[in-house]
Amino acid sequence: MTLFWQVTRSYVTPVVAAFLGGYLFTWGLVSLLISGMVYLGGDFHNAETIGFLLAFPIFLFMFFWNFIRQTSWLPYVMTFVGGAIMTTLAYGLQTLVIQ
Amino acid sequence: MKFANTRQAMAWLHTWLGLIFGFVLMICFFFGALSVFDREIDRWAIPDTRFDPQPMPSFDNVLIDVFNRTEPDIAEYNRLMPVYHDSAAGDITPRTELPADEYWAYTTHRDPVLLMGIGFRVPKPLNTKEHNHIHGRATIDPRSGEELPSNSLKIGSDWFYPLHYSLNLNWNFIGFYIVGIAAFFMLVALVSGVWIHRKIFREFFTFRREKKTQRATLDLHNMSGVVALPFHFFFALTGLIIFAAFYYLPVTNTMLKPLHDMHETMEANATGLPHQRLGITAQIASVDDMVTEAKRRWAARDMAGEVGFLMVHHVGDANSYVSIYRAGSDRVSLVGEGIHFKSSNGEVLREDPPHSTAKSIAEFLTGLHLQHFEHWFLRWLYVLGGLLGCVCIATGFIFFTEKRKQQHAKNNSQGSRIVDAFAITTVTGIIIAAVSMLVANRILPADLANKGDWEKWIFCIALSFSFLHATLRSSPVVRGEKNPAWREQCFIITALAITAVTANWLTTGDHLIKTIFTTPYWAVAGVDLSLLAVAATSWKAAARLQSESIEKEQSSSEAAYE
Repeated sequence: MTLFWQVTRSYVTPVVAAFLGGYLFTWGLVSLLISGMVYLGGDFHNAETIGFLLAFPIFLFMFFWNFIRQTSWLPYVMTFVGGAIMTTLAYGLQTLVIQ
Repeated sequence: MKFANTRQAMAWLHTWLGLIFGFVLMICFFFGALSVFDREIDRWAIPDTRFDPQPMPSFDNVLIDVFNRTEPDIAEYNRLMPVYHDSAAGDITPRTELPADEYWAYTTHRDPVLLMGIGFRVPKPLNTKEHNHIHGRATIDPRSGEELPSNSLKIGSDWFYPLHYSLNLNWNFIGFYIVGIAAFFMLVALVSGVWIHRKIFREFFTFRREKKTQRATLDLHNMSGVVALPFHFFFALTGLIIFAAFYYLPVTNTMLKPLHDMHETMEANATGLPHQRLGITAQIASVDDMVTEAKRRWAARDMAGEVGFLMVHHVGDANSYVSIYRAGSDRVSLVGEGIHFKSSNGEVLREDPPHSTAKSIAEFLTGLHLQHFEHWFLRWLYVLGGLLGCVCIATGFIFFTEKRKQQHAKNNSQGSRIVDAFAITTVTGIIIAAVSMLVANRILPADLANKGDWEKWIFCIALSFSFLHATLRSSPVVRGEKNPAWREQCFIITALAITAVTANWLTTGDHLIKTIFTTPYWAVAGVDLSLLAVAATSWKAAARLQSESIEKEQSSSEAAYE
């Protein structure tokens, strides 16, 4: 294996995976929070502000969790699958609200 | 990659992500620190604007004339008009015939000049749901309504300030994304930095400057990191929050846009502020009377103040309204206590109510980052915090190379050499670039066509020169020695900073005795004094590096003699 692939696999991939996983989870959570709050009768801009205030500390936490526990599958499942599920739910809730 | 423990994983993250993103973060922190005094740097760079800050001038007598004669930006028109225009609907509207849709004017307690803008609408838009605006901007002397020459660049607010959040790389907002990712990894570096240091309290008080470079540098890195830790964390976090909706987490501008649009329509109905044009032409009543009424209402709420931001929506339409916001110079939170008036008759449509708790927290955080408040001592603390960030990152670079260069020398590796060259570019190089720009500003003729563009080019050339110089002089690093470019670039900074102060004196007559004692003008005096402080500091650093180099040469020649 060339040095490039060794560095990519051993060093770059875990950081990128933790970053993308954390981002997807945060995206899902914030979108679900906004659409969920609006669905429950809350104000859109208030929900948006709460989402952005919480987003980056959560992103940071998920990044560290993914990076530290990189030999375990749980953080990856939680961030990638959890993020995707929350994003889908948020989209569904938006459709319900708009109808 | 497997680490023996979490602390080791954190050390790896701190070292490598800190190194890679440190080069970007140096630019963010340094130019962010300069941005605290961006308006003062503007005054220094444009001598015609060296007068006292002015309140918002009369809309009816001054602003409306400027709005009427301001045209859409040529470059923006050429870029966006073909995208916005529906060619099936007819010929493209010529640039100078685009109708205005919104006017705005903005000032702060530090602005002698007034920034104004117009959003021109596209009469035959391809996508009717989009905003479809082509913009025009003007900066005027509020006392006369005269525009500043279009070739002048506001170096502080139009070059240094955007550098710290966009690197001035505007192609597809690439600079914003690079800075956003760097800001996130700044948070990662801070958390991992705290994690790996067990004796963080002791490091607060530890700086052993008499020790070897590697030890002393690490002490300074730890101390500057710990002293300003809340400042660094706060600025990286709030920078991300400020741009979250637009760039970093655009949930509501993409996936949830239908929800956002629905809410905008509902909000327009609830507040009585029309979301769309009606299509019926209407005249505008006296905006000055609306300003008087807004000030009366603010005073009645025990918050008398000046107008900071004024906006006319749906210009020339029956649905047009005027929004007037208060300048927030007496508080941290970025709230404007907006009052909205119907344009055609001046009737009050709405007064913004107090915001929710979440919104108030966000406004406080945003206000603390953008510092619109009037508190000069606190502004200097911001500069100090920003420069401590630079010290922390720069010492991180130096520690990285000092720790590895002997090992790299043995292995004949080029790693330290490359890092050192980049470190020089982002530490001394950005100072050389910034001061070169100021020197060019004073030396280039005031009436030179596109003078601002020349200044930008000189900034980029100076930065490239710094990198080239650092690279060409880096061979000693391969032998485990210091790069002489550090010393040489410090000497260059000294010479440039003194030249800038002298050139300001010779071209404007504003020397320090005048700007401090005879006709005090602290905006210019402050920039001059800061340049002299930079000259003195870089001279001291260069002299120390020079004496170290001479000592080393003497000891090696003595060793050779023996």
